[in-house]
Amino acid sequence: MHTLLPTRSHLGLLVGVAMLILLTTLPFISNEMWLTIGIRLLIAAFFATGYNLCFGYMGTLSLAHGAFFGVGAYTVAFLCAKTSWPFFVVLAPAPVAAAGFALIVGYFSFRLGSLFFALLTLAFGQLFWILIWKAYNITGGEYGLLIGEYIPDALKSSTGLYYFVLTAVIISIFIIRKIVDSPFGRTLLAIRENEERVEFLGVNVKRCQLIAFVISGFFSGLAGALLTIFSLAAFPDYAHWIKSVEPVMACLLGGIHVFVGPAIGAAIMLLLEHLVLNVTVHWQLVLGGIVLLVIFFLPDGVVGFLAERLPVKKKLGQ
Amino acid sequence: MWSSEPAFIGVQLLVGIARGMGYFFAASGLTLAYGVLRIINFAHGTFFMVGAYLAYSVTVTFGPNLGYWLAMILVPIGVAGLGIVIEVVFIRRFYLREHAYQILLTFTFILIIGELTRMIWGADIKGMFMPSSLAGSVLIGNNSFPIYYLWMIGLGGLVAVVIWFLLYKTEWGGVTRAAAADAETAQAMGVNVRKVFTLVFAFSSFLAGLGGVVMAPVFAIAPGLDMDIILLCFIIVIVGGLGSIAGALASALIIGVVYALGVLIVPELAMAFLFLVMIAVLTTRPHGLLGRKISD
Repeated sequence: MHTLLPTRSHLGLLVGVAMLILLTTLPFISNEMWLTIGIRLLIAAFFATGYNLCFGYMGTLSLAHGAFFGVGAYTVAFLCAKTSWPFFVVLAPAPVAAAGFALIVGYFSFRLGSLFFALLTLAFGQLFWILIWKAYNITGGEYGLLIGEYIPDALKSSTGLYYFVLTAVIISIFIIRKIVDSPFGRTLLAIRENEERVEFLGVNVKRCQLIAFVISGFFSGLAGALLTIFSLAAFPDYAHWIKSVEPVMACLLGGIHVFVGPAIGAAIMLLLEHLVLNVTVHWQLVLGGIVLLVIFFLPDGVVGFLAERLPVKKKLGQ
Repeated sequence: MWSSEPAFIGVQLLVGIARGMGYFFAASGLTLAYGVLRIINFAHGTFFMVGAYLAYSVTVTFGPNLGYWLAMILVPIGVAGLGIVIEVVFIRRFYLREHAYQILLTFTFILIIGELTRMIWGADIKGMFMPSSLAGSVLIGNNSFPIYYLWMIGLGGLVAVVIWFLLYKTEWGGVTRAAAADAETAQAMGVNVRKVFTLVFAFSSFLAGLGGVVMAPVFAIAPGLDMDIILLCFIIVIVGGLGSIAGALASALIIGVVYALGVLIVPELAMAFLFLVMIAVLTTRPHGLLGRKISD
């Protein structure tokens, strides 16, 4: 009977608690390899969740987030290598710098329609990547900016780093959730559904879009900073356009209309990459194939697909 | 660095115009496809790169002289064929979907075709020889100027005239412009819009392939060329106005010259100068030099 089935929120709570227990105990139940994968997974899931604020909630496809990720990564690396500031002070400017860059990119890119937005954000993102390559004296060019010697010992052990990343990611995702549930988050949804109508209601649409874009860029920068601490270096790859595609894929794969969709998509992607790289080096080919399949056959992503078919009661208004 | 000799700057200007003509081959196809299909093909630079790689292989097989002219004829047709397959199998199904999905669709071709070219031709840089009839240089003042650049300028001008003639002096062009202005009405008037879209996309791919052949001898052919080209194309169509062929020509020449002069001032930041031009246009004329206001 329907009344005996759990509601969707019960199921969500159950899965959430199970995930939390798994995440907090991971260092005790897994080996070194899976712990490193866990760290990368947390960062990728966080990057995708922050990205979805722009993509899923506001309905804007940005191709500059890889560059924001890179700005965060290089800010940490640069400040570590060139200043003697204490480590935790060095971390703070990274997301701020990424947000600043997002403000500049957004200011120019929101001037025209959504098609132009994708094109302009890709162009600005590539500009940053090119500058990273060319500014060899500052960034080390293709060899990257190595910062191993400046990282505190506590973060060099996998367990220490894991808990550090876990704390940062959980706090950030909690904040993103709060933003999504706030009146501002609702306004973003309304903009996605009908931009013109929201404009008529007296909302400054362009400004809302810019704010959401900057917030999203802020979190991308933080994700980049975390990856730099994990890999003890910043590389040009961190700012490459493929880095911008990763969260898009994660969002599409997981489902853009569910809050946890992008995180789950990122997890699937990372595990898939791990498996595929054991078999072939042509990950990019597989990645392209996956996206093609998803946009053809799974427009709501895996989570959206399951949510439609699971035998759970839908809450009113969902 | 800046020479006091005006002829030197003049030569550098010509270099810029030649490069700009090369970019025009790529950008004109992109802007033409957008004008009719309302889709921006993010893989347009990838088609260009495929053209360059194919040209390289043809010249390696048949020698630089015969190979070059064979490539000039065969490669653009081959790339046009690739375009037809991609339009018929994939893009056709996406005309009515959201922009984000259209962009992502063409984006997957960057990933897939890009990786395939790397599998076929490897990751190292390929250099292509030019035919002996176009090698060498002429003297302008006391500066030598490559003959190949003169050939690029001439061919670019010829292609611009051919595009103009096709679009404005032939029945095919009239039908195409009708489909671009209002696809539904054109369909009602008996135009096979589907076929027009496929042909326009094929022609757009043809131009990308031709650009790849023409630029192959003066470019380092390597992975990443696709993104370099699409980036230049984007800057050019934003400056010139998306959908405008004349705008693409004007802005390709401006971008080519700015780049050539920028290289003289600060070589590392030549690319940044192009962005300054783009930002200046965006702030003063958001729809480009010759573009019309676009509603979406």
